[in-house]
Amino acid sequence: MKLTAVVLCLFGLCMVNQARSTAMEQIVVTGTRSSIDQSDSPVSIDVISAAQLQKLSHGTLAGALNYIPGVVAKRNAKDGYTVQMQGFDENHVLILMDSQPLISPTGSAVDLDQIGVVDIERIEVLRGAASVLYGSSAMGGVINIITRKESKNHLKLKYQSSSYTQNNIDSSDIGHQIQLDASQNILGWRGNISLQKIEDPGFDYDPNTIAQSAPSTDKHFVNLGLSKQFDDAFGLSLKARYFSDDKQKQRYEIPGQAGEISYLSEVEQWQYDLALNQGEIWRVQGRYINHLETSGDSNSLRDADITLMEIDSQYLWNIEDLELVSGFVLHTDELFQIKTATEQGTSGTVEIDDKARDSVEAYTQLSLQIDEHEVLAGIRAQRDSEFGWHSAARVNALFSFSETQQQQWKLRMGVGQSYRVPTLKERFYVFDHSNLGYMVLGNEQLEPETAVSANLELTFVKQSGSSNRDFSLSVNTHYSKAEGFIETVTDVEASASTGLLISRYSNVEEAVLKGVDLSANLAWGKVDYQLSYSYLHATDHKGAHLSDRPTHQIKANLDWQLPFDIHGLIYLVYENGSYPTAQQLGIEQDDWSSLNLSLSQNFNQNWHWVAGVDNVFDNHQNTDAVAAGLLDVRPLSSRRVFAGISYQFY
Amino acid sequence: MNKNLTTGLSIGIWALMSACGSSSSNNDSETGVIPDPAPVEEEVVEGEVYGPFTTGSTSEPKSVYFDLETATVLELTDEEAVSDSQWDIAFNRTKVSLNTHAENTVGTYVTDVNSDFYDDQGNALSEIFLNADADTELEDYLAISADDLPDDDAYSIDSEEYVIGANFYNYDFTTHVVSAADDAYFIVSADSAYTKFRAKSLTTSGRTMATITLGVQHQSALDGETEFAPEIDLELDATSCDTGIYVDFDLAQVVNQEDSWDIWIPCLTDEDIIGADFQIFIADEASALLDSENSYLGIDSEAEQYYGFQSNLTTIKAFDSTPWYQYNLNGGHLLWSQYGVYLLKTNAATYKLQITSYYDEAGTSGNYSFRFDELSSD
Repeated sequence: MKLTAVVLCLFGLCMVNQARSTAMEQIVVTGTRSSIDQSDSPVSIDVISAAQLQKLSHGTLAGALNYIPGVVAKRNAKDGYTVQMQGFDENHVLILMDSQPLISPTGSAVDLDQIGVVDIERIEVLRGAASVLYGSSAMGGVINIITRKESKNHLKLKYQSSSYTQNNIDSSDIGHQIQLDASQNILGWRGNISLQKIEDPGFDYDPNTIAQSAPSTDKHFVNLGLSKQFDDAFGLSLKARYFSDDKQKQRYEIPGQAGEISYLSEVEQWQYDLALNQGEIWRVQGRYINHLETSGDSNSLRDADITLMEIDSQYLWNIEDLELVSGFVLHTDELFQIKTATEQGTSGTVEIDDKARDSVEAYTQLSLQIDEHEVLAGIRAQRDSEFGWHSAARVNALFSFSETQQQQWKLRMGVGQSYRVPTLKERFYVFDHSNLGYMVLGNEQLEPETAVSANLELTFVKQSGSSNRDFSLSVNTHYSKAEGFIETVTDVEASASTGLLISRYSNVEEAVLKGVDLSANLAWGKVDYQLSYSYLHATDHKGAHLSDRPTHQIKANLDWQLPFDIHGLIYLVYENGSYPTAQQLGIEQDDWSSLNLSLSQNFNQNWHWVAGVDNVFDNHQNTDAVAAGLLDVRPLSSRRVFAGISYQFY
Repeated sequence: MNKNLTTGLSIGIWALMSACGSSSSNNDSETGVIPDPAPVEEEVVEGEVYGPFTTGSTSEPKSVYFDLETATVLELTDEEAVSDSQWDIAFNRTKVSLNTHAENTVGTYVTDVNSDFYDDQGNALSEIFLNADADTELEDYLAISADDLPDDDAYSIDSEEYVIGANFYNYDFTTHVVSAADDAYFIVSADSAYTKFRAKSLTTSGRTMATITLGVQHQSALDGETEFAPEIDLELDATSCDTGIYVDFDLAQVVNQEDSWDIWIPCLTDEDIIGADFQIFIADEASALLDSENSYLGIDSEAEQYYGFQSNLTTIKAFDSTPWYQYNLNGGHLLWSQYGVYLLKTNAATYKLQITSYYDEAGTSGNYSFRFDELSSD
């Protein structure tokens, strides 16, 4: 009731505020692999701008994507952040940076808390399948992080501090975030550098227990970029990114000993990008990422060495109303994982022995423009070193109906295939707990998970022109039938022969995911409103509901331009109707909500400040209930008060 | 208490002797001879914790062989330990073994200490387990004394048993007649199939088994069968037994030793009478269980590991009947001691023992700490 009142109050405000101009049209690339106006994209794309990111984030993408309708943000067991889309879990949502994949430290999921926001120009969110253009994991959607390409000379310094208030581990705990961002043109070369340090003390709901709720973290981001645009539109770009992350939180007392077991995580990641292009005609991008991680409980640490290498080339033909984009991708993943030795003189236990997979992928997508309408048809073929050939096809269409220049209807529809290739862990893992009676083993015979999906979206846009009152409404329905989802199942023969419970990854699970997303946007003078509702019905082949997904999700955002160039942002998230896993014993709470407030002001050309409160009502998980095996969908979260200031030197 | 009394008496006697012999002491001084001081016994504190002793990792486990008499770990390989009579108790990850050597067959008896760690249904009470430590459980440990020693036949030892072995017949000790235990059903898992069988009847010749009729119910999991087929009889004649009688349940017939057999019965020649021994063994790759209530209509292959199938020869560890730990009580995949007090009877003495931890100070698993004290010597 309280939340409802807040929402109604926010909408009431719109009736008394003055009009203001609408937002500028965004350029997007994710749906077509070529630049196009957001409203003209035949595939529905949502965008978060750099300015919005600065208001929503605390230095990384963790939680910031919760702002987007239909996106479900999750905190995982390693205290990282992932997203679900259209009922697909984090392993089936593809995270890209400049249209190329990133390292997935857990399963196929990228940790959004390992991506800094300083040099991000915008984030494009594509809901639905997109394996034709992007390959594996693009089943529920694609989040494409577009880094800054062009920039004016600038030097900016920002500092932000934060406190978890009553959940502070120590009452004096303060989180710190420092950003330095600079760009300079020298002899025709554009140089960029951004540095960021984030210190987060973590939080704890109950100081009387050993277990700490959220870890202390210490993150460093270094981004270097060098680019040059030559005369004939030939462009060269070099980028190097470094990231480190140290986490620690106390977990358990050691049985029978005086000490404690802590969760530890030390991560170092290097990324190198090289890109050549001639306008949008052709582009070749190379990427190398090496991710070193030591993580786990202090008495059971694992070292992982993960490498990703990819070369992605693309050519674009434009022939009158036809546009053809074709690409060729070489991709390699490598993984070595060892459970570190707990005794001097021993060598540890290799769990994944320096395994690799290679793939050669080719795609082509044809776009045909017919008046205001557009039809897309694409296909992708992949030759994988492990499972051989696999392919996917998709067709999309955009129908535009303009009643007037200010009033438009757009109908987007698409149907096609998507897939996810098995990870190296799923293929080669050896998890040996035979002393406790069980083992988990990889399976080299795994095939890609597949899905057939259909999307239908109807959008109405009304722009009032001089009166500065814009309105849009969209209804998006989606349906996916997925097969061969990879789960661990008991290997009967191996169990019988060893006397252990042997679980092995297998293509077994099927699922039907269907739902609808409603979204309304209203720009009324100096206030922008966004209200969305998402419904999901996700079941397995037996008709049982899939766990850990909300049936209902409501998001309400209000962006208000106040006097003195002050911006206010309020956004509310409400989720309801998750189902427990087979292992959970009952439900502690299956709905949650979070209200976030922030204010920011450009004090003058140089000074800018921001302040706010996340999770105002401090809704968070009951960790005791979760430990007792109950479902509690409330996130591991805390009220956080923050304030920051930045200075733009030039 | 006894050790303190002994120490006190030693000191007193030494002091008395010194006083009585003062003149001789002086003489000793005169001759430059300094008397040796009285031997000081190292004080042994009851309840002292020994360890941690590492039993290696999951992938590289190793055994710790411990001699209670000398309170030391013996450096033995597993092969050497088989013929060694000095060690008393051994640890290998979660398994605790007792020496079965003929000269030192160690038995154990579990006292009733900390039975309140479980509820009436035998479920572990997490709160109690998590709040117990070596200090809180010392009092219970100290309370066990020589007065609590049970009769010798109350001690359990580690033993080896055949899963079928001689369990298929009855022997009447009065009439010395052997008969089939036709209510003892066995289920054999082999070659992705399950076979329930029993001995329906048997005949003897001298001290050998001449014939035996098995009642056999077969279930082929490969063919998707979920229940046993109706029972058929399989008659085995051992009167011309040569290398053994080998049975393949898939074919429901006797096969050769080189074939894919599921059970075998060894031959026995006694006083020129050829027959079979009163033993049934299963193949190395097979496993079996006793269905004493004839309760299973079929085996769910997906859940086979939960039925309790065992290999042909199984070591029955005395400690397994009363596990010393509970696992994963707080979601951390940790082992928590129940701090039960075990009595260990060796060839020389009886001790009490309490396992206090499975971890070292860094939380590394497989590191045993325990306390033990001698209660009586034989």
